[in-house]
Amino acid sequence: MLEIKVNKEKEKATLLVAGELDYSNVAQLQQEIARQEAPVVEVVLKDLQFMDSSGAGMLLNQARLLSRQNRVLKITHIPANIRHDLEIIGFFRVLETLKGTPQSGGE
Amino acid sequence: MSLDTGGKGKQIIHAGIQGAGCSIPADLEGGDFFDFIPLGEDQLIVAIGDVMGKGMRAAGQMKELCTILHACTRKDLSLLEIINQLAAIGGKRLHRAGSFATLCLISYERQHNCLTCLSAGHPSPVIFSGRNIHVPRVRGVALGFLEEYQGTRPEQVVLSCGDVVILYTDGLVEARDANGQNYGLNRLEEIVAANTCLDAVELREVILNDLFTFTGCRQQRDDVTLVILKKDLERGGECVGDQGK
Repeated sequence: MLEIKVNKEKEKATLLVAGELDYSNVAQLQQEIARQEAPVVEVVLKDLQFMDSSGAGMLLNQARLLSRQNRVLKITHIPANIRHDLEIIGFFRVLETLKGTPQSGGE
Repeated sequence: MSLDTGGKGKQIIHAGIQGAGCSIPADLEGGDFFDFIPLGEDQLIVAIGDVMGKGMRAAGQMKELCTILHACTRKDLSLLEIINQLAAIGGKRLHRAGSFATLCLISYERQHNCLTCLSAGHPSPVIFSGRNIHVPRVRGVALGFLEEYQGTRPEQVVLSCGDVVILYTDGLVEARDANGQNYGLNRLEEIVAANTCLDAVELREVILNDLFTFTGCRQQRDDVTLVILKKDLERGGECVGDQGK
């Protein structure tokens, strides 16, 4: 079960994600991120209980996509257990490389 | 050696190591994999990994990665060179598909009783030696995330007779009981520490029974893969196999 609440401001869209993000529902969050037009999209994971590799892969792909559009995907308030799993796969190291990537304009 | 991904166990005795593994997909086909690759008489390569997602797509990507792994091991490359090639070829394909794979590679060489390990985004192996538990500090970015392998150098550990090495995927430690509690690494370590006297195949069965007791055989959320390596027990001052048990 995945719940997504969206809070839109002029410069930032905040997506509050709760429940479990996995293979079965990963498209739901992907579509919600894709729907946003703000320069900054923040995904708040405070109430997320579980995320599998499909969730991690989707978030990184969306972060890459927004980066190519000179936009930013922020992933914040990550629960400790999920952060631990993301650290093992090198998730944050990849996010760091996106920060250092020269932007080529929107796609 | 053939690749086993269908929930059937696989075992091997080679280079003074007993190996037993099992991969149980959550769906009809999974993205987890493990393999034992004997090289000559005195070396054994062991791989365990997890491709993003589930089903046919993940299974196809996993098989492709295993094909590249087998090709690399035939070239007499070091573990670091193998993972570099996997990142360059397999990782690139995964990246194009918007996917990624975690991988832990182990090489055991009988001549020096030396176990070398590397990880690309996969949980480190856990080594049980007497009462001590050692977790090698090997870390790396999963294959498919970056253009090349980025991670720690390989770590080497000398194994003594009776030492046990456990490799697993996150589906095992994140399996849940009826109350939503995870099986967890602590419980895995406890059940192994209490049963290191068993051979690799017996230990695999004990762990799986404990896991299924814990979960009450509930539907898995993720593929579960477990590999056990045991350095053969000592008899008459030398390590010998347990084939005659």
